[in-house]
This record gives sequence, structure tokens and C-alpha cells, in this order.
Amino acid sequence: MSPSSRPEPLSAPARVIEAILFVSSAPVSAAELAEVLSLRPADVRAEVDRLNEHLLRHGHGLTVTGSPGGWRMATSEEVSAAVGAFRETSASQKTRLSKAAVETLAVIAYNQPVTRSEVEEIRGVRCERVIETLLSHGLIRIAGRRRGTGSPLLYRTTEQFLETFGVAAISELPTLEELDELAPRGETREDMNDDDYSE
Amino acid sequence: MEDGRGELAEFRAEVDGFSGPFDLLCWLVESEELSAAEISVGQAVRIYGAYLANTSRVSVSVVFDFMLMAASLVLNKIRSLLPDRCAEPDEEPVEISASEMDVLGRLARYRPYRASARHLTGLKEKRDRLFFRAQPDDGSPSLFLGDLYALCRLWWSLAESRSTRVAPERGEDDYDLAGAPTAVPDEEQVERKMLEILDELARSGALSLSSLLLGGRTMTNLVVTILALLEMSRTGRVRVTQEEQFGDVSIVPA
Repeated sequence: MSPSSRPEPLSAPARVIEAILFVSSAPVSAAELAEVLSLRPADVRAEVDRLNEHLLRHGHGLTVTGSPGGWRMATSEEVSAAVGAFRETSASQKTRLSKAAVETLAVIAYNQPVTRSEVEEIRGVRCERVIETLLSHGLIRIAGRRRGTGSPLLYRTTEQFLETFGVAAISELPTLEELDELAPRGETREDMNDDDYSE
Repeated sequence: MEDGRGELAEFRAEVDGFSGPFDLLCWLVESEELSAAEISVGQAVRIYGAYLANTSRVSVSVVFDFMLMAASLVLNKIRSLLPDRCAEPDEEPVEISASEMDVLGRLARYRPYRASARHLTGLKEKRDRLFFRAQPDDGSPSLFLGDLYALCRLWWSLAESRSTRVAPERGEDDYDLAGAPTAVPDEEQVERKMLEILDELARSGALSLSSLLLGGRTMTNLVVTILALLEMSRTGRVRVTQEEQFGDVSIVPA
């Protein structure tokens, strides 16, 4: 290998971050890394970006991904088939959701805290069973009762929801306006079915 | 109704790719099989019928929801076809009725959620292709603080497993949170304590409150002992004296 083609070495903080994320089974926060490295959280974020870029540029089988509570080391998408064949998928990765369940989750995520009747009004269909399923999967939780007639239960999404869909926070999701603009107007039924999960 | 109702409760059918009447109407409008302004009920029912004919499973509630929507569309059509009694003869015909506007408004409100569901599905597919270092399972149940639903589920599962172990034949009607210690009525506890104190007095002649409490320094024991002493003092069975303030209390037979 000629010196010019040799990969550029990682910075010392990025190497430490890589090692910490490698040994940690839980997400590591910017504050934790900042304390270990004596850096500001903003600098830690920059180092994480640098590390991720390095892993991507040099075709590593690992990547750094954001989770609620911090960053985690994960396998890259390119090697998912092989890793999936090697290791039995974890319980969370076995969670299969119907189209109705994902749609109900979307309504709850964008309107939380929200009552069941409000979800049903938006979807135009009864959601009792779907909400039960989502509760049992731990994707939503009861977040109190709305004051007023009947004191209906309020629902919120959970950290498990963020974990399942790979977002660090609800604010990472695009707004409804953005989604509406991006929504295709001439799709076929078959295209829609391709997105389905079976429950 | 154990048999029939139980079977009905378990009965569930899902139509793949269909998640409600709005979903279907959205698809019909988006795929330009129907005009958004003029939804043809006959066409909608015909397409839906053909769609159902292609699947062997269908939920009664799905049909109900769709028929409800179809009925409201029929009503809209009837309203738009019949002449408005209040309308002036030379008035311009209203292209979209208020009810149609309502349906279209609801569809417009629903559409972004449908798009977000698609977005979430994409995120999940991407996430499912990532693998993480397995988290060690310490065996302790995880609880979300304030999540009463999770707490109740945990409690009932514990109670159920306990009841299955202790009394498998127990019916649901006489379910009494098996596993929890049976509560002893206050009166019975005080009665027992009184007999215990009288026995002790008969043996030793005199007692002190501190010696009585040596058996168990619990709040229940303290309350029961005090109540027993007060009752025995009231009925003249013992004499309770305290020589000095904050000193020990001596108990002697009356």
C-alpha cells in the first residue's frame, strides 16, 4: 500500500469515542463522553461525526447511530444480511407492525398526548385493538387522563418507539406539512402494499 | 357466555394494505380512479368489492366502517341531486356540497398521517437492518415511572402466577389477590396482645412497656400494644404508671 492510499488516522478523541462505543451496550450520551474526554459536548458531536465519516469512507462494517440517550455502535446496512444470518435477531427487531398500527402510531406521535377518540376521528376507523397492541409492544404508554367529560385516557409514544424507529427524539421526525408536500399523489395500490408489515 | 363470546373476542381478520375507509378513499383519489370533487359511490363500492373478492379474509368492522362511509357519500349524492328548496332558480349550482367538503377536509387532514406512517415504516425497515451489542439482561422487570398500565400489568401477572402456584383451581369470581398476606382485623390483633400481656404479667408480676416492645419494633406492634394497654387499663385489668416524664411505663396487675 503506498503512503498516499493509507487511510487518514483518526484523531485521539475520535479513537477514544470509537473504543467506548464499542464496549458499551447502552447508548452513551454527549455529556458522558465530554466528561471522559474533557471536551465540550459540541466538540464531542463533531468528533462523533468525524468518526462516522471515517467508518463510512473506509468501508467499515460498523457505524455510529443516534439513539434516545446518546450514540451506539451498530453494524452497517451493507452487512445486515450476513449479520442477520449469523445472529438471531433481538426481540425488538422482531416487532412486526401492521399498516394500521404504524398509522395509529403516527397519529399519536404527532398529536401527543392524544385520546383514542381523537385518533379515531383522524383515521376514520376504530382503533381500540390497535392501541391495545401498541401498548402491549411498549410503543405507546398511558400518560394520564384528559380533564373533561368521561376523563378519557391520554396516550404518548415511549422511548421504545424512538428505539424501534431509530430516531433520537420526536423532534427528528419531519413535520406533517413537510410530509404532506412529499406525499406522492399518483401511487399505485401495489406500491403501498410494499410498505406493509404484517402483524 | 364463555364459548360464543370468547370465540368472537378472539376472532380477528386483517386485510393487507388496508387500514380504514379514509385510506381506501385516499388511494382511490390519489390513483386518479376517482375525482376528489366527485367521488362516485357506485364506483367506490365496485372497486372495493373487487378488492375484497381478491382476498379470502375480511373483518366485519372493516366492512362496517366502509359501508358507513359509503352511506354518507350516498347521502351527499342525494343532497346534491335533489333541488334545493331555498335556492333561487337563477343561482349558480354548488359544485361541492358542505358534506362533500367535510369528507374532503377530513381526507386532507388524514393524508399527512398516512404519509408519516409510510415514513415511519421506512425508518423501521432501515433500523431493522442495524444490529447492536446485546444489552445484558439483569432479570429485573423494567418499569416506566408513572406508567400505571405497565405497573398494573406487572402486578396482575405476579398475582396470577402466584395464584396458579397456590390454588390452580381458583375461579375468577373468588379471586382475592392470592399471595398477599391475609389481613388480621385490628380488634383481633388487640385481643391477642391483651392475652399475651396478661400471660406475661401472671408469670413475672410486673412489666415495662420497653420490654413489651422488644418482640418487634414495628409500627403495628407499637400501636397494637398501646391499644391493648389502654383497653386493659380502661377495664381495670392492669395499672399503668409512668414515674418520670419520658421514662419507661410500668404495667402491673390491678
